[in-house]
Amino acid sequence: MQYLTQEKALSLFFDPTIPPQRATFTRMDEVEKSLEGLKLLANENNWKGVVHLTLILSETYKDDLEISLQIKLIQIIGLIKLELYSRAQDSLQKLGNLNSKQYFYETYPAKFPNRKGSFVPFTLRVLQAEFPYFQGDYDKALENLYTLHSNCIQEIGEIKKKIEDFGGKYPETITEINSPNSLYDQNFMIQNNFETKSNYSIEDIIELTINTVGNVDDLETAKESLSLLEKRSSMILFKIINIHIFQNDFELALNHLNNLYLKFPSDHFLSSTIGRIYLKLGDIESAKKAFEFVEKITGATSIFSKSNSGLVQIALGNYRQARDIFQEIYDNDPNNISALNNLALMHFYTCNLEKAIFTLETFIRKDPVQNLQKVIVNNLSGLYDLGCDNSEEKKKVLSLVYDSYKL
Amino acid sequence: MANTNTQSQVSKGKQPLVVEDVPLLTVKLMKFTKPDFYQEFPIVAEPTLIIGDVLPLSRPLIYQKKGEFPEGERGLGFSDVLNVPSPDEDIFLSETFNFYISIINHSNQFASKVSVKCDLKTPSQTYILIDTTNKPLDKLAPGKHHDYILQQEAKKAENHTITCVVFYSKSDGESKQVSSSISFEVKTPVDLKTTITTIKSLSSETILLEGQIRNKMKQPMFIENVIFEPSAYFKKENLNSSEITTKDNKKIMKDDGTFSGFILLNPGNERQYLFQINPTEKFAAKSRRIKDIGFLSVSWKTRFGNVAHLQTRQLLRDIPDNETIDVIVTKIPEKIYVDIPFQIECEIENLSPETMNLWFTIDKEKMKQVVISGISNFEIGTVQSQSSIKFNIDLFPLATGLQNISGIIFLDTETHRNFPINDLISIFVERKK
Repeated sequence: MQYLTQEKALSLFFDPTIPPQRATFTRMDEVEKSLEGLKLLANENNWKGVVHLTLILSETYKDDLEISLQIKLIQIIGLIKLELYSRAQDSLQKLGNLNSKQYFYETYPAKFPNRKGSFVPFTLRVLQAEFPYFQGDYDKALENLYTLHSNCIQEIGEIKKKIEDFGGKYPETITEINSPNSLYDQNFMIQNNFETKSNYSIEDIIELTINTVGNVDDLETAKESLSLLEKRSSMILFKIINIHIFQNDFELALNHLNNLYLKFPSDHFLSSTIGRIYLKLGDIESAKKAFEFVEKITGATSIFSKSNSGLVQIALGNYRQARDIFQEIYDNDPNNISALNNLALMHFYTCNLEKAIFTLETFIRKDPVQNLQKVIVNNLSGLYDLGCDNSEEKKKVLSLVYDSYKL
Repeated sequence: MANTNTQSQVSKGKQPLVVEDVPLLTVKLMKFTKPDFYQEFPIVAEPTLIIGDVLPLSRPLIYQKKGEFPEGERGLGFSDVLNVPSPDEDIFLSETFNFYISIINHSNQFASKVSVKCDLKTPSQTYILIDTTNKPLDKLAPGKHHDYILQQEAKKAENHTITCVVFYSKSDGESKQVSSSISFEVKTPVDLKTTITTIKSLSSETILLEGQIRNKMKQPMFIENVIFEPSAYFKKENLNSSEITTKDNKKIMKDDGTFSGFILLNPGNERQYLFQINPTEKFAAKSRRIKDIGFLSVSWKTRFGNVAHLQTRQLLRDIPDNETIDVIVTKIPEKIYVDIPFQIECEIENLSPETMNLWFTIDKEKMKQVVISGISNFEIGTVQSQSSIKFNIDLFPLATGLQNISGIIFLDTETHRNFPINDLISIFVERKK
């Protein structure tokens, strides 16, 4: 097999008369060496650039504790995105114990007068907890996540008490996880203070693993803090559920999902997820029941209901019907990667391998910047193995094309 | 190499070298089952991070437009995206698997009269999966595919070899063929063990069947049913479900789980089922001599509803050979107390064509907690063919609980044959208060 360069691979894959839309990778030296520049690079998925820039910026901002910690976090995220897990682990380890004195405002009274608490971003705590699974240690990751989650629950308990102290009430259920409220307002920074106790010392704080919601002076802030904490705890729970599903621990995953469902009864993503887990384990009847809930909330003609019914048809072995459903979704929404992916798969199951391959290739060619996703590449490689005489070469071309779009 | 020489050789009038014969078509085979869901582990960042508005909750799995984060948005990397199935996945007995035959014309010539013959060979059988030699495809253009997809049930847990031969003709009329084959083991998905216990009483008997199912696969199985089909003389009672009242006041039968109600059997785990089998009223007398009680049938589903199902052979219970004599208990005291002797009346029937002279004796080794009280060796009497005689046995129970009367041997002094009876009847021994 001839040696292939990225350039050659690109020319083989794309129509030579129509130059493909290249990923616009701003070169490192073209970007402002500032936080704005960092945002720009991250926006383009240019993680190499992000990691390099963080090295420079951590020097620039070395005196600003909060920002330099965030920069280190972004560096770790970049390394993970580049799959450089041992370097990421080194950087994480260099940070040390996130509960140590160096990360508390009280340690720097000159810089942060009257501020108390931890300035470790919650994102970093989560990343540290889940990091073992990037190295294959799912059990350790689960352990860490469960600990983080129980701390979250504890905090929620404390906030609820505060709300009661202020004479307010908190909602038992939350109708919409994604309600555009002030919680994701950029200007709302959770204050990291912890209510002062009379005999307070840093060593007393044992389980401060979350940006604690302190300095909550009024009912409104308390309610908003509660909402944020609920979202955080669900998010951690989703990560836990993800690992359980991956390890085929369906019972555990479903238990958590059912508990979440009680709190968020109108969240149709939960119902869809529950249905999909039932499909994964083979209980079609229960899957159908879960999908009925989705229909009730979003309507029978929504993308979500249609996609779910497509999956049920696959389970029943009705591949033609499934193909038609995914075709319909894709026709209405040409950006819908999952519908396109499943449509290609259904072409395969209905004995049209050529069309399956063509569907995926066309989709990538249409908009490689957006559409070159790992799952598409993996599936296309799998189809090449079956459908092409020169499958090794085709897979190599595809892999080089993928690399050229991910920096 | 060949090409350059041919030219010159032909022009010199010599025999042309044979050009290397490259087949026009390739045939590729793949076995696979249902798809699986794609899963990933997204990184979640809150908007309070510097790059937070770029990486809001997570890199969306399927949607790229910013501001739309349906699936995967909250740390769950599991959505409706599916994976192409792997050809290396195990196939288990009684599963239905798919089989794809892809005929590819990778050359620049037309291939005509394309037909395929595919067979499946196991050590015990050969099946023809597909044979289109009677109706071949007219032409297969260069660069084109012609595919077939078949479904096949894995009927035996053996090595399966699927061989596909594709016949075609080149443009010069020459017939060619190309073949490919794949080989795989069909594995046993479950271990099914049964234990049969018979409890004899005065008028009839109760049989208990324990079925133990163990999942030998690497993936969990969702058990749909475990059914016992009794044979003609029996009826069954399913002891595995109990009636419950649902939220909307309906009464339904729910399968009792010992540890949980979830009927998902994880790899390596076992689940037990219990059935009670009684003879039907009509056949109460005859059923004692029947060995075959019925069969057990298990059906389950795996990923994406892949159906599978197994059935045992006829389950046989261990009962003594009843061709020559038949012994039943005709009278037994209502209550039997430990350490207090009791008497039972038996009737022995001579089913053989000759007259028998029957004696009663015991096998001390086989007598368990109920022993003979008194004479252990006595003559019962002469019994004509097809007639019976009644006699008494004095017994002494040594322990309480459910006991078996066993260790009895009947001797026929005419033919010197002996008939051991190790399960005459079951009794319940109480303690007198």
